[in-house]
Amino acid sequence: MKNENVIKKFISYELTDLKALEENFTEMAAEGWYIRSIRSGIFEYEKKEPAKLRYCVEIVPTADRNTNRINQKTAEYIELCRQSGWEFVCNSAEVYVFASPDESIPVITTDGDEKLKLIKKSVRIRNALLWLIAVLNGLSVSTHFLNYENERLMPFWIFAAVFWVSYAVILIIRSISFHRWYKNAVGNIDSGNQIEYNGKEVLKKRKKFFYGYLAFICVLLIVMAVWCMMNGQTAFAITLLVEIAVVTAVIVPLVIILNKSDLSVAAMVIITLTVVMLLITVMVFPILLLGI
Amino acid sequence: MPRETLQSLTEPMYYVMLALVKPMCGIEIMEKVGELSGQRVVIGPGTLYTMLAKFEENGLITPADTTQSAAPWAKRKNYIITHKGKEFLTREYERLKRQISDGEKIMEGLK
Repeated sequence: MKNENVIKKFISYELTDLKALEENFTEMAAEGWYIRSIRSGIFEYEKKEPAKLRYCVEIVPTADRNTNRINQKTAEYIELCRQSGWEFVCNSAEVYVFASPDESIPVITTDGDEKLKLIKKSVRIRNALLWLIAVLNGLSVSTHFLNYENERLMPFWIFAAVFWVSYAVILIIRSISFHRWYKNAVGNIDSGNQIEYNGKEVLKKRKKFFYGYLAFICVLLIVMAVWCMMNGQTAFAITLLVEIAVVTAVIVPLVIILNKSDLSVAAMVIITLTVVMLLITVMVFPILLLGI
Repeated sequence: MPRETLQSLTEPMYYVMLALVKPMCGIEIMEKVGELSGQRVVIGPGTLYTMLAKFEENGLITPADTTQSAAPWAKRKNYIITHKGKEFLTREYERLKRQISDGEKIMEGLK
């Protein structure tokens, strides 16, 4: 059932964007949309009376990293925050959101060095997991390329390889950019300054990048499909196109559902691409059937 | 995880230890630190929580009797400085005093 009082947004964020999230929540609350839950990058806001609220997004050291369940020690942490004026709102693994209408109370983590250490630890653990997936994926892709006797599965492995290479590139860029940010932050602390956290504009950039990446994968697959067709490998081409159609058939409705309130340009690009791809698929089938 | 041994106290740590000469819960410590330092030193609840855990791990403070309120999780955990904590605090106090006296002669000359 459609609920007019709730909106969902997809927000792609890194742990260096905690301040950006705080700004986002404050702005949304001023418009009457209160953050209610965060589940795998999907942010749910609830409609209430607009109010001026401060938000604090913290990495809680006692929290579990693989579940949203709140353990005993974290309950104590939350209680101490509540007593000092910060109400717990929601959490996503170890990332906890607190809110307060009081402008005068101190932030939850007043020690910049401590917060930086918590971020570094969490980023390392998250990156380690992503790298593990990348390595396993890479191994499976390369094994199949080394003995590709089963040619019918080839298009799938081409797709997997393209996906894997771009995924690895993104991981490398992410790691480098975090390292640079971290070095800068340590420099700031050593010289007695505040750490410069990313502002809200970074969230827009990440969102654009995310959709851009999806579009990039689709374009690459189309190029491959065309290349296969030109080389007389129509079966490959069709499998590829079906893959794209399936991928986008899943992604596009998802994007629309998540961004009901703000359908971005990138989402429009993806929708256009799907239509084009479906058209190509429809056109290719009769040609094949006629044996041209 | 390897235990992190405290070598010296940072400014906020020093004030928290001073506050814990009497049994106190988290929120009282934050207020006391503000009062002792003339609102110069401010500690947020997250930083305080981590600090108390570190002190307890090092045996500098110990849980005192707990103030129970309505909800079971809402109990206010009280802490008090231990004998080891008092020794540590005294050493830090002497070190700070020494720093002042060492600097005094030089600073007098600057005026």
